[in-house]
Amino acid sequence: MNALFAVMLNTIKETIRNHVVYVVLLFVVALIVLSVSFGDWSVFARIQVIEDFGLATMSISGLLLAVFIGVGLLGSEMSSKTLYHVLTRPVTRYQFIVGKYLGLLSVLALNYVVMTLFFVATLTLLGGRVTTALLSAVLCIGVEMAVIVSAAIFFSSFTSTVLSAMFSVAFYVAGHLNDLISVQIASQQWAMFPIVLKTLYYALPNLEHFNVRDAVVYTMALPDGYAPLVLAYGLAYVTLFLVLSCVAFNKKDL
Amino acid sequence: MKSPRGFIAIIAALAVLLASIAVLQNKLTSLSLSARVPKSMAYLPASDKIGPFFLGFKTAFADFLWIKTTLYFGGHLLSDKQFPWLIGMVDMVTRLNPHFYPAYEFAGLMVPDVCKNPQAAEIILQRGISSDVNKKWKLYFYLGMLYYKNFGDCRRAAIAIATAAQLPEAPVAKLLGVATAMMSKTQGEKDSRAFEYLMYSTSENPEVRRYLQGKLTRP
Repeated sequence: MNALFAVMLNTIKETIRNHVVYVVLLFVVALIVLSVSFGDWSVFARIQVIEDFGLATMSISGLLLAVFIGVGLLGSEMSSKTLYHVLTRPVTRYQFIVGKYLGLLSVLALNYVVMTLFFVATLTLLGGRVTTALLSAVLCIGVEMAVIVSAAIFFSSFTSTVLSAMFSVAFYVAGHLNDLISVQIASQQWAMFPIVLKTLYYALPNLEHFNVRDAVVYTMALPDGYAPLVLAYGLAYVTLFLVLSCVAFNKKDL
Repeated sequence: MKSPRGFIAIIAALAVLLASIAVLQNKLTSLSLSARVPKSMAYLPASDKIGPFFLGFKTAFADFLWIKTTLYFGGHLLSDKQFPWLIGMVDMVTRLNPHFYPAYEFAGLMVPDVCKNPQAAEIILQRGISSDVNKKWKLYFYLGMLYYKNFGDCRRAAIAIATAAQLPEAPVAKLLGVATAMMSKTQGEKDSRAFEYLMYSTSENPEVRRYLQGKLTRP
């Protein structure tokens, strides 16, 4: 446990030194400020537009951080050879992967809290209301970010940094397009391929489940028990990717 | 993990994780928010098909497009008064975000008048009625107005307005009075002016109000 904690602390220090975190934070803050202007231009429904843009910006930042930081986390350790020093100590490869993930997630969570505070402050100053539903949407985006980071670490455990970045973006796109498959299954327009579609649907994660922004912004009630299910779904995917990362990293010939 | 026991443990863990993911995914899909929105009447391809291509940002795109729509409308109203793209833009906004009331109001009040296309307005308004939109009574009211003014169908107009009167927040007495009058009268200039005034007084859109005010102050 001490080894895992040491890897985690080291990752936190390393990530905090990464300028990308601050650039993305600045980008998000700038976009939230811009959303105020978008709100003004929309003639009316100003608060809805600000909420929409704020939440969308926070979601995009999760992808950017996962791609720019998550995928390089293992690659940089290998290219700088520091990984070999770490693994000669009493640190297992599992502890290394999980420690890296938790360290990165801690910094991203801190970053995310700063964004949320800024978003909430902007909204409150402009007369919007911060509701439990809005905070649920923020939480769901946070869980989605945790899943994307775990996927990025999984990809970087067996391939190069560039390919990991491409796979992570593809994972994000496929995860959001997966909803289209569920719509097709539901509407049964492709009656010939229901099994193929269902297999594809379950083989890919459905990241749209983390997207409750529409419901929150337009004050529609979330179904009962939706938020805990989304949390469990996210946790299951994070665990799956971490187990797969550990297996892949364990097989790696270092 | 090199021992068979470790290998079996990993396989078992993965099997449990995949099974729990499938169960959760199934449960979440059945609770899916998008599945609760009724199928819209498709003027162009339905929103449930185009929506996923925006990767979860369709309402943000809808907001952006709505801003472009208001700028487009304002720009052309001040210049050539030609709006070839207006219906498409409003239609797209409502397909990307079926809960966006302002676009429906705009479609109900402006599209029949400035685009001379009451059929498109009818379809967009019916989409709003079948979606989970606030102030739904106004959409029925605008639909009734559309049937009355543009289709000359007093009976359908009266039914739509009477339906509006039954919905929450509707001015019941006013609407029922109108519905009753519609049932008994035929379309005339005086009624048309009265309806324009009613539309003017119910609209929250400053652009629409300014436009209707201009029409109402004309002799």
